[in-house]
Amino acid sequence: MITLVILALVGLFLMIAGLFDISRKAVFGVAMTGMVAALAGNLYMWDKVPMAYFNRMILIDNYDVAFITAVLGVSMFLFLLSENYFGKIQNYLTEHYALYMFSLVGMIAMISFNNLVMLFIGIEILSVSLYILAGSEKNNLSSNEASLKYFLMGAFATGILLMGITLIYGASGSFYLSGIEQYFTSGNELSPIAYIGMFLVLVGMSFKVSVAPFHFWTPDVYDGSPTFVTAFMSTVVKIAGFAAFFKLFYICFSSVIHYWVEVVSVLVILTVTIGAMTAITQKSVKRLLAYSSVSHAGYMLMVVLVGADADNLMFYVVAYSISSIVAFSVLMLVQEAAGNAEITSFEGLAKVNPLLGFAMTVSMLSLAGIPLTAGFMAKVYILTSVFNAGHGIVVLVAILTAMVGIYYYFKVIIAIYFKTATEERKLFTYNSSSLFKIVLFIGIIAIIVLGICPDIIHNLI
Amino acid sequence: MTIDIIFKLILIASIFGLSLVTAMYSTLAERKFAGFFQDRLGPDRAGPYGLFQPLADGLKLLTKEEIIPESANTFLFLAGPSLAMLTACMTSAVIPWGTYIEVDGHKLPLQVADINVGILFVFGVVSLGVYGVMIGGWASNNKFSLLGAIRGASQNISYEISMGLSIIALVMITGSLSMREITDQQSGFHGMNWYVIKQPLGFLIFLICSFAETNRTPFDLPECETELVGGYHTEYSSMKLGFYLFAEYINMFISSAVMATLYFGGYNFPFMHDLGLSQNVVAMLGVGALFIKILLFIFFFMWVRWTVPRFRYDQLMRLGWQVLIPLAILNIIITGGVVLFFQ
Amino acid sequence: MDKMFYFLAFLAILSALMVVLVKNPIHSILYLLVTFTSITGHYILFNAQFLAAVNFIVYMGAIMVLFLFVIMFLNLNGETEPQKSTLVKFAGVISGGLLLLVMVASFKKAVTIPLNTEVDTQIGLIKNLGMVLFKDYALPFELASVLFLVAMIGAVMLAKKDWK
Repeated sequence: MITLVILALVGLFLMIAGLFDISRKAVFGVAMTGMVAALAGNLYMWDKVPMAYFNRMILIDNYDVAFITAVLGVSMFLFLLSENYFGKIQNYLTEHYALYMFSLVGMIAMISFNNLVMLFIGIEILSVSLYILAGSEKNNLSSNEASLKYFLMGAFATGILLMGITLIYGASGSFYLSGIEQYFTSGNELSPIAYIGMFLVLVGMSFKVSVAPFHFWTPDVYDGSPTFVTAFMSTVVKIAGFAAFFKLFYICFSSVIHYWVEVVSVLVILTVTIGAMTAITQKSVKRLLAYSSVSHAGYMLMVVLVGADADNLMFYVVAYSISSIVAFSVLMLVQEAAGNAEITSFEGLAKVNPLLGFAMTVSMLSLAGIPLTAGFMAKVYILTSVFNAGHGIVVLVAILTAMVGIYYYFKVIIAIYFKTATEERKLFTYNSSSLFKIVLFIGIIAIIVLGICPDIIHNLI
Repeated sequence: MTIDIIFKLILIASIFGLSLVTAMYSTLAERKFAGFFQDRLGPDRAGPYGLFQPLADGLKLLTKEEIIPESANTFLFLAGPSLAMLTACMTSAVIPWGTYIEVDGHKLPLQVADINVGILFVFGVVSLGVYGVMIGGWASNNKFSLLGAIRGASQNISYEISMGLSIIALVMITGSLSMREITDQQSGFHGMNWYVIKQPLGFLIFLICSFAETNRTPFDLPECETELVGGYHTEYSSMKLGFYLFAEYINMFISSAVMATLYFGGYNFPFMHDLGLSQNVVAMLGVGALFIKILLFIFFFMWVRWTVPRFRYDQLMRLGWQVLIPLAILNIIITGGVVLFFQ
Repeated sequence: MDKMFYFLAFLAILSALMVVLVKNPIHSILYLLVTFTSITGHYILFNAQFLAAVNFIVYMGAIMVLFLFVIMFLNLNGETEPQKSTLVKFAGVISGGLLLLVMVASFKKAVTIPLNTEVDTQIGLIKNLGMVLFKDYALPFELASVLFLVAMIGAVMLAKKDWK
């Protein structure tokens, strides 16, 4: 609760600060301080008795604390690697920061919701901020396109989600998770509208976390948005989205899992397959990462499919987010130097700038799921639990597509190490401060450490 | 029961008639006052002092040729003025015209419908008023009409916001949205506990906004003849034009009535309970008092029209968004503080 | 009351269909207006006066005016509407039909529950609504203000000219 209030107040404060002429560093400092304070307030709740606030609108237990920590930690990590993005913003700098703060508010409401109204409002705050951020490069046509597409599709999905919530309310008579859970576990015959409501909610949530076949917006939106926003959307937002998705399905609908387990397995299979297959033909690393995020969404959805083991989800989102952010931050630098995000722009990066090349390689290995990286352990945990739950086919498809994934992730690595850069490219300078290098280095260490001793965060909840 | 229904029907008919007659004679009054302000006579040929002038005007409008432009959308072209007239007449249903009269032991309130969200109803109908202008302007298929319609729409929406905010401050004091309850609350202190004393700023904002909402000078940009020929009613003729013009006067009458009710005590008049008169007489005097207040407001509308020049469009928008809305929010904050302090 | 409900429901569905079926976008908007009017009527039948008034003001008085506003500028006509290919139409019919099938199947299974007559008919009045909104739902209510603030920032950021 205190986390939510702090972030909202920091957002407001930043907006007012925009009226005065304050330096970029100060704005960044205020935002970071706010996030650190929020994180501290959040960690204070760890291992306490679950606390309910405001007439049980939100309920905070260890699950929520863990995921809120993940969201805040990952966004701080991303912010520390962001100087190039924020340095280039000419207008409305403080408003950009405020939007990020408010979107964090939305995510926290989404994660810690105990009432579907809170879930809905959280999703909306987050989505509206993202629509704006996606279009924040006003002179870039593809950014405009991304914003508009995201907005139209998102509004449509919100409508479906809301319709689902309404129908569930109509059947169960409650917006509270406990009330809905009671309705589904009561053993009475369920009202037909409860099923429709459940599936509409499934569709709405699937859209928000870009699960196939509701992923069509993802490549265009991720490709068109400013790269930093793409990184934000594909990591932080995904954590929050899946935290809410899992919580809703785990608490409310797990007692009727036999009604939706096939549907979700099909979604999982579709998602991992489509994500991997379409990524093969991509020439742009940004688009490749967009499709890779779709295919990773499939893995995260497997946790919902099993209906237990929040630990695995937690580990997966953290491993995926750190790897992605390292990849995106290298991409941002390369994109700025080369002017585009093509794979060819990465050719010979290892010679020109070894640190960036190495960072990109480690993150690609982790995203592909090669042993000794965090991504590998994350996949092992999830696939084991899915296999134990008896979904052999899902595991089989997932392993096959992961092999396909190795192909396209290695395309980038090959470009970095085994191709030589053109003469012109050798002269590129990659503007990175020492802070950036240190944080990037920490990211690499984190990926490897999590791959070797995953118990640091696994089994926490 | 039957007496209630019959009474309601009579009441509806008489309110309808009264608003039409008032609107009719407002047109005459407007021209007379214009004459007075410009040091000339005004209409004085039809009947004594020109009293039959509105009838002559009406007859003229009715007998003129009906012209519907070939490229216009006929249905919407006809719907425009009808909607304008409809929305103008709807508001009068919730205004309390008097306390109540006693017939045969029945208490008959002088109000068509006392719904407990009366203010919101008024506000809703006012916001619908823009449809008549927009549809008419678009259906005419004329650039000037369209420009007038768009001006009307944006002006109405902009000023609705500050109007709503000024009402919120009032509602914070009254604690009720029912027009009758609000009026009754103002009967204290010998019938002079008017809300204009507690809400001077709110009243001022409401007043300015009602000028904009009724498209009256200085905010008559949707129909400003120097730039847009006739604005949204450029293509209209005969009684359809008459409806638009008439709707404006009815709107003026209704918004005067709303202002009188909300801020000037409605049917309350000084010493209404101290004179020892019977209920029916007091009720009738109350109706009279309300009408005097309304007529004063109508006079004020006309006075402003012939005194103040028209705003430029950007000035209009700046006034609405950068002056009135912040002022209205300030008013809400102050009101909230005071209410909290005296609690 | 029952007859009133069926009349309003019929009107709402008919005009909602017309929104989709008519060619002229302005007519669509006007039919949507009729739909909203009948929904307002439903709220009144529920004795939810505040909702009725707010639906009236916000949807009919403000949002639909903005719709009209924008469409008047766009000058859309029936002729300029893009034609879909046969394949798309076919796919649309199939998926729409499937959805209809599911809906009909589930409503066929639905049982009519006797009306709960003990519902508090005063719940829709503004006093009770205010109590619920500011006591039980205080947090969502306040967070909704963050949502609108975000939307406002967006309007300013995306619509205003850059100055540097």
